[in-house]
Amino acid sequence: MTRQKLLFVALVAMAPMSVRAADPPGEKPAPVPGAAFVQRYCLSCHSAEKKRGDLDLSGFRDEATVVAGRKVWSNAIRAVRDGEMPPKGAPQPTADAREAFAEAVRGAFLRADAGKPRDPGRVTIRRLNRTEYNNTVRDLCHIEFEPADNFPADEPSHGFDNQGDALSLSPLLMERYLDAAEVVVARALAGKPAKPAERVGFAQFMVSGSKVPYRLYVFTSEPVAATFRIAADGEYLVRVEGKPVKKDDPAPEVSVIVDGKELKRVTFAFPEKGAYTRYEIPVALKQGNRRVSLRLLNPPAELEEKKAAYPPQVDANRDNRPGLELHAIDLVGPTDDEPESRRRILACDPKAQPREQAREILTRFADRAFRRPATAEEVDRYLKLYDRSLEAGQNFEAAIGTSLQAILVSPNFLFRVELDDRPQEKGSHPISEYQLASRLSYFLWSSMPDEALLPLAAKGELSKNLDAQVTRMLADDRSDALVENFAPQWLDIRDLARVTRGPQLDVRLRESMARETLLFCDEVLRKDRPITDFLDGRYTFLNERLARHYGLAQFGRDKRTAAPVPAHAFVRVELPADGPRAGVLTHASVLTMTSNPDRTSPVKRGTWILENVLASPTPPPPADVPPLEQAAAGTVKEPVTVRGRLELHRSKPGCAACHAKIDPLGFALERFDVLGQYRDKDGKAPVDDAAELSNGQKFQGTDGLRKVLLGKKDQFTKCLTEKMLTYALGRGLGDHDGPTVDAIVAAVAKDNYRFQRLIFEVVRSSPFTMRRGTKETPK
Amino acid sequence: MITIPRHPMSRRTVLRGVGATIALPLLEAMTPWRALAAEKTKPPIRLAWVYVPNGIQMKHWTPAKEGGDYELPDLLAPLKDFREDFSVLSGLAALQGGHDGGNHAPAMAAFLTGTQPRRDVRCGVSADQIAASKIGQLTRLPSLEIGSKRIGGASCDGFPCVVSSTLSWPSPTQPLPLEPSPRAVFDRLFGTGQADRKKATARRSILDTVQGEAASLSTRVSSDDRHKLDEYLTAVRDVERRVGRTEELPAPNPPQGAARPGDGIPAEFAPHVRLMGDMMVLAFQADVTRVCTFIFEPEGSGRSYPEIGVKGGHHNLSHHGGRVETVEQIMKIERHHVTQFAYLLGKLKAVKEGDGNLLDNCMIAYGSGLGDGDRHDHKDLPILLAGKGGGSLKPARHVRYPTNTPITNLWLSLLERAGATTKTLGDSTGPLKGLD
Repeated sequence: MTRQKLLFVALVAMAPMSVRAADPPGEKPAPVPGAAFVQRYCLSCHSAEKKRGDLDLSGFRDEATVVAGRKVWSNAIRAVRDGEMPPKGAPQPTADAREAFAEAVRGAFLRADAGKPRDPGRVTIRRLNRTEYNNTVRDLCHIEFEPADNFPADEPSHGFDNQGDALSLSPLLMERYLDAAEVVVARALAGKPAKPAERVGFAQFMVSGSKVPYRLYVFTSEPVAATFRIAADGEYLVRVEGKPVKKDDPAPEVSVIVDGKELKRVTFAFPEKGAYTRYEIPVALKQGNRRVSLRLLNPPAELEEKKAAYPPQVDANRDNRPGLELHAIDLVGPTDDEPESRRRILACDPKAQPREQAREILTRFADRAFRRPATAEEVDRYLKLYDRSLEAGQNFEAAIGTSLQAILVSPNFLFRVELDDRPQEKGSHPISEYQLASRLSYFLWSSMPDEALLPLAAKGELSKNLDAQVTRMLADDRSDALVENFAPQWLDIRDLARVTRGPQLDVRLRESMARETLLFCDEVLRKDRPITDFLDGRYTFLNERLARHYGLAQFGRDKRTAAPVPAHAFVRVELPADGPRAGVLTHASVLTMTSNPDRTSPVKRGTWILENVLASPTPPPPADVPPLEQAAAGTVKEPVTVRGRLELHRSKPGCAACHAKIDPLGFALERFDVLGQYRDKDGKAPVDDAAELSNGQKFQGTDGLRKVLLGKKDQFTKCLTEKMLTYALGRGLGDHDGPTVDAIVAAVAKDNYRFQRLIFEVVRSSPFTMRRGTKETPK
Repeated sequence: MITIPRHPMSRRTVLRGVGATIALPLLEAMTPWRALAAEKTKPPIRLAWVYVPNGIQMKHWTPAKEGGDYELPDLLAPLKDFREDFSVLSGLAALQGGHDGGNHAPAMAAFLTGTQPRRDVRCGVSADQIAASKIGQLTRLPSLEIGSKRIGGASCDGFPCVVSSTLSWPSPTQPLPLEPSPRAVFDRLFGTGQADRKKATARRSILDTVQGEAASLSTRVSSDDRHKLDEYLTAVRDVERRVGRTEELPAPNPPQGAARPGDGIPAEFAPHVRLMGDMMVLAFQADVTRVCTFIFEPEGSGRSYPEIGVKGGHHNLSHHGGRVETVEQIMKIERHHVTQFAYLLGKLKAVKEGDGNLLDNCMIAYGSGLGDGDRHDHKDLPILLAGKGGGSLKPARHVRYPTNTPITNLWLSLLERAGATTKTLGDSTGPLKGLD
């Protein structure tokens, strides 16, 4: 069976049979768009009698029937534009005629869509996937912890792991949810920070750029300073240790300064016992780099006069000059007894009765966990559990903890439930504001709505401020989640960590490959670049390892210092305009994932392009694929190259139709080996990267391929739109989404293909903001 | 300055080694069924399935002769020390494993269900889960699903990947995920501490509470959503049962000499499946469960085995078109798999039980849902049946069945012997004769 046949069998089955009956009587129906074209080029084969490829276009008598058979006709314009139809040997229309036909059909669709309410489709309630669970727990409980790493993997569907229909809940997973809830609550309510107060200072103790490991002698009022990195806001202790150089010297008075502000003055008397006098001064610090400096307030006058001659001295004071002998500047902490998570979760009216306190705590937690106000009935259920726990002998806090655990395994937390607030309404109508907040936050952040979104939803003002919120949310760090989760799944490189390609593909190289692609996608998003950059952007991100891998070692070095760029720090690199690399197609990540372990696979690469760039996936090979060679083992004359083998394959009628589309796209990438390294030879044979499309268009190498793909810009936009919409909605797209996709593609094209436009349009689209009414419930 | 996404790659992706390993062979230990019955009772029968993907080179697998006096074919050579412990069954078929457009995923899904899966993840109840539902209540865990997870790059034939990643279907819409981490399996078997019991009480009340919420929610959602909530409720009830069982049947101590495996999953095939095999042996030995599915590799697996000199991916090699070199390569993989199976049999045999050994009380089917992988053939499947089934099986033979005998007939016979009799299973036509 040919590919067309397979496709059209499916399509024809969906075409409605008796659309004409719906025409209002007396009115003359609009003709089939591009009727003359169809008559001249299509009907000789796709007629009722011949039905070539099981497709009969003669049944479509007017515009309304064409619109009703949208999928058949969308495919028809694609085939005509691609030059796939009319087939070789048949009379060929000019390129303009092809375009005109496509426009005519598209025009009919747009006319039909105009002003009509769109069916927004329906989303099955979605279980949080692993990423969403981790992020939600982090934001809900204010802890950094990733319990979902132990959960069974979420099965992807439609290319993504956040699809409602595929996210199932097994007993095994339920067990893990219970375990996770227990650990999460224990951590969130822990009385002391999980880690003991940590000394973060001494090693960074810097004076004039030199590290001071042990003792420092200070003779003048010139301050000495140390910088500390503070990981979290909190209470810290500045610890200073010192003494006068000699017992009889005047005790040094010192000003302790944090970030330029004096914290306290201390006097270092000669210690009665031990080697030094210690002061610990509490201070509240914000996250980030903090500078602690000491300034000697009573330096010996004779030394102070010639300040420059008496800099601080490290570990030596042979003359026993008077001054301060400093043993340490340290920052210790955080010392808070009450970590933020605990404080925020347990906050309540201190004067209230315990049960009322419990109600306050549980209501607040459930509101946030459910991403909408919890009902009284719901809160009561958790209060009852609290009562039961008390009866079972738990104390207040343990009982609260048990109820918090229950909330964390409740269906309203684990699933994103979108109850219809207007269940009687026939037509499609907006989802609730809280639901919209969740759709937004899980789309852009893979996490729950934050403290800005929920109040907006409560006031019913979110839908009015959608654009402003999207802008804000994209600027937030949490939107890294969009890049981290969408991009690798769209580009199918998630499993890079798990493929085997021999010892050269070590952990560092894998990680570098994946990160290059992430950073590239991040750039397109952040800089709001046109999405065509994915195909032809002449820039990328490299570290030393990857630069070496690409044979671009000159880029693996810092521009100013010429030091090699370390593994974790990538730099943006402008790629040479005459080089082979541009866009994600030539990223090592993609090229590696689309290779077999031991050789390149033009088939995999071609299929990858069709699926992920051109939105025209091919059906899987038919069940009865004949083996490449029927002959007995060992007697076949083996073609040497992959290309030779594939050509043999293409000569079989069952394979030709698809492989004629797949293989040429893959051949063009043959200059990249299984790890995406550039090569001129495949084994001993020179690489042949010439290719010919099924319409006879010839092209060569990645440059040629890029031109071919850029010529199908709208198809690429459609592809990315479909992927993004699938990811955002958590469901596969159906026929009824066609108008939405077309409209988004048009809007993105109009705005110079900018990436953020796509995101804004997805958020504004009817499937994202609306729900189906009772009338549209499908058969 | 460029922003580096926080976790560009999961931190767990690094192919970590495994710290501690198990010190086997294991010593005979007190096991619950012995503990429960003071006088000597017959040891229980254990059922396991070991799955290998992409078919087998049948020419080098099927013995020429029937009966006990056959010559061990090339691919079965690694089992030569266990000749008396297994039979070769040929002629069986899983015809529901064929599907228009895509043959790997359905092959696996149909293997234990005898049902052709649908793309929207619907299949049938699997043999192991029938066993779990009938004899699972006797042990701490009704069943165990372990093995290797899919490595990227292998297609799932247009099916959701779960269809070709598990053998176990407790209901037609709910494939069970397998557990790939040896440590996680160990913890499920033996619990994580003495706190288990206290935890169980708290869990019970938590589960009560959320069940109420799910039930009330369930009345207010559409039918599709209700289906998801049913799944939730089923999971909750299952865990509840399990919690109940934890109270009645507390986690046993691991048999003497068994150590908790290190964190992580070995990158190489053999160390990983051996460790998982050790876990299965422990589970059977301590009678924590009597039913296990063990997936050496998921169907359609494209794994390569550089450690044994096979660079090509398994699936690719399976479409060898008769090329001699390629066939040699894939046979290396097939032999490598059988070698690991031999290891597993050895471990079972080393555990003393009753008058014999643990393997004597097992029924372990080894095989694939594809026969000739090159042709995507679902007939003449490669099937081994190891163990004596507590005396109910007569191994050490090659039995040939009429072409296209449903393999589900074999499962019916095994279920019967394990005390989990069921009338039909997918495309079954009646229990298979000639096993005893």
